[in-house]
Amino acid sequence: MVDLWLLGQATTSGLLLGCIYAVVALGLSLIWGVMEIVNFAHGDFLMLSMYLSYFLFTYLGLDPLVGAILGFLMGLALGLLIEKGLIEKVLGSPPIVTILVTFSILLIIRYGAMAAWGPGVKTLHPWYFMAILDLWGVRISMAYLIGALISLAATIALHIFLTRTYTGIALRATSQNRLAAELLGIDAKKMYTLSFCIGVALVGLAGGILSTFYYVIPEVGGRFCMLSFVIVVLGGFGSLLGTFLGGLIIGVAEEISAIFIPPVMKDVVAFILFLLILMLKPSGLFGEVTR
Amino acid sequence: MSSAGRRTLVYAIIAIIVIAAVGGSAYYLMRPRKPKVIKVGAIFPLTGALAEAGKLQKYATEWAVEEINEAGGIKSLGGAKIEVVWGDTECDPSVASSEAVRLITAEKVVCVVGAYMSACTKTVSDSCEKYKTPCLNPLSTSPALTMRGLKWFFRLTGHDALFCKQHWDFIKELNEEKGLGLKTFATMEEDTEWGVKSGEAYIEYGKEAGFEHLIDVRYHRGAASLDSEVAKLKEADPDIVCLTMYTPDAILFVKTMYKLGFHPKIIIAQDVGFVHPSYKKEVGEMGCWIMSREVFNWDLATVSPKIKAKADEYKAKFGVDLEGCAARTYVAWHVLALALEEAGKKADPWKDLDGFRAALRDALENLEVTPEEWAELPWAITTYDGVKFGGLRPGEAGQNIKAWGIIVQMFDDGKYYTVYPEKYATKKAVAPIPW
Repeated sequence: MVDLWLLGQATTSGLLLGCIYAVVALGLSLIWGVMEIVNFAHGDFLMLSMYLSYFLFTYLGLDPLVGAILGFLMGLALGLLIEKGLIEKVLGSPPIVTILVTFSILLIIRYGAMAAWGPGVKTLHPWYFMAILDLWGVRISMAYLIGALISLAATIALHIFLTRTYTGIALRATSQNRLAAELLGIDAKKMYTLSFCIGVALVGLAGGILSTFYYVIPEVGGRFCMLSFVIVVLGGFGSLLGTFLGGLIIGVAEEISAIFIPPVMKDVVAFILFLLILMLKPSGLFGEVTR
Repeated sequence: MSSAGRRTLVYAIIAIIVIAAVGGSAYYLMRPRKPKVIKVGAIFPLTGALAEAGKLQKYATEWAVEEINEAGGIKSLGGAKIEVVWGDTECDPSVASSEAVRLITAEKVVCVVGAYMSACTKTVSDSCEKYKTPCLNPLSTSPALTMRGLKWFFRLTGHDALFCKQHWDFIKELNEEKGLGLKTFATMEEDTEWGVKSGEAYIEYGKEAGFEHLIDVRYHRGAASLDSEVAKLKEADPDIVCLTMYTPDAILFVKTMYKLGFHPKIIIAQDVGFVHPSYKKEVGEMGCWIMSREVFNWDLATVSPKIKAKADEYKAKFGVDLEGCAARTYVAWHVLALALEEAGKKADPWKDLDGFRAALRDALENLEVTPEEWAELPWAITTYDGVKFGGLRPGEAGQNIKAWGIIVQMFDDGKYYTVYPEKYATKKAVAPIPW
């Protein structure tokens, strides 16, 4: 008989973590949805933002949530630079070219970080990490709660942007049919740049949130990047709602499975679940089969 | 020429020949001779991810060999000097193995010292076994290394199982001394060979010490979250938690433990993750009162004048603080010199290399340094009780059964202090943890 407290704690932890996984995956989903390129450097943009938060907190005393906002802005700038300088040049090339370009960016950022800041672990301790909400024994750190709420807010804001604003609708139009969108006067190139910038900015935001409770090392991005791919495919490439739900499903599945089976297998459970869903619905939970 | 003149000439010639012969012989006997050298292979991770540790082992090797050679070299071999032939594992077991073969077959070393990472030590010692060359290991701690029935492999440092046994001796003592009422324990370890073997040893020796094992939580190294893992520990509610993990997971564990309000009476860890400088720096006050095994600690210098003298000498020479890696490597070379001295009485390395290697193997096998002798040796700066190769467990061979470590505890000033064994302790262990 599994203890109810344990089940409650695992579910709560899974939901909160899932929200944060979702915000990490959101940018990847957007970039794929509009540009149809798989950004392998996604996790390393996350890592850069985590280091930014770490340094701002350690040397300037700035809260990591302020770091998250600055991470968002850094992401916008970095996204613009990389899209204009590299991605734009290879768009339309065979997929292997864009894969190699983003993979090269991954290597440069990761090993650059290793050379600049060393392989050592860094972590920061904002006061709200230890501010604990105790709900009938189920303990929630405010750092996770704040992170989950920001993640939810970012998803809603992105949804409103894509469905209620002219630019957002133009973005979606470009993702659905580039030629038709261009015939209607939409500058597809600009839309690509915009989606790449927002995608990297979102992962910049996620890095700030993650740094409030997770450690920073040069390889940290790899772990979350893998999860992001699973979440995005699970939810349906390009679907925001799907990505968010995918994050929650993976988070909860990992945490709950760890109480029934040896925790060392919890990643396997997440991947089995992922494959099962794809077998039943190959386009993912909310993905469109067209294209 | 008259006959007297001829006789004088003959005497003169004889005198010249005698003087030349005596002088020549004297010169030959008294000429400044270049001392013979005895080649020893040193295989360390000089490049690759663990090059930092390799550098410290290189420092320690140069330091020890210089001392041995300056003190007259290996006297039984006419004062032969040790010449180190370097090999680089590049942190890759297959490279380590081919380096060992190169040193043994091409460089003709009498013995190989190395190779830090347990995985590299495994392949190096396999090559040494094949070529019947002694392999002396100063630093690898995987218990499996000395369980393979090798005849040419000797490990000087303690291993994880031995350290686990020491942990339980300490906890048992602490429990009785302070009346803590500790009865149960849980284990948590990463899913690597090191983690699994250490976890098994904790369970085996914990049960042997009379404690009840409640739960073993094995997790995937580098997990994105340890929430459910720590929640399982909390639900089991053990008195003692035994941990085996590297630094990133160690930090995540400590944070999760605080987040979930998990408060065991004692937390003890298997070194590495919990004593790394970045752990100490980053974990802050959350890490207080956690204990870990160690092989060397800064405060040993405050209780042992000879350790202080060597630590000061090392710092002056290399500009870095002496730590466990360098200290154990330094000691290994001096132990090897003792064995070379013995082997030199039995065989000649220049005439019969194979015979000398066998004699060196026998010398290592029969070597015994008692605790009393260890206390007197100026180079014996590790916390071993001496040297005696053998086995603590059935099937074990080539393990220094006197290689104990120490147990350290982080106090509220953020520093680790030695709390066990008593002869090295600078503070009394704080238990149970004052949450």
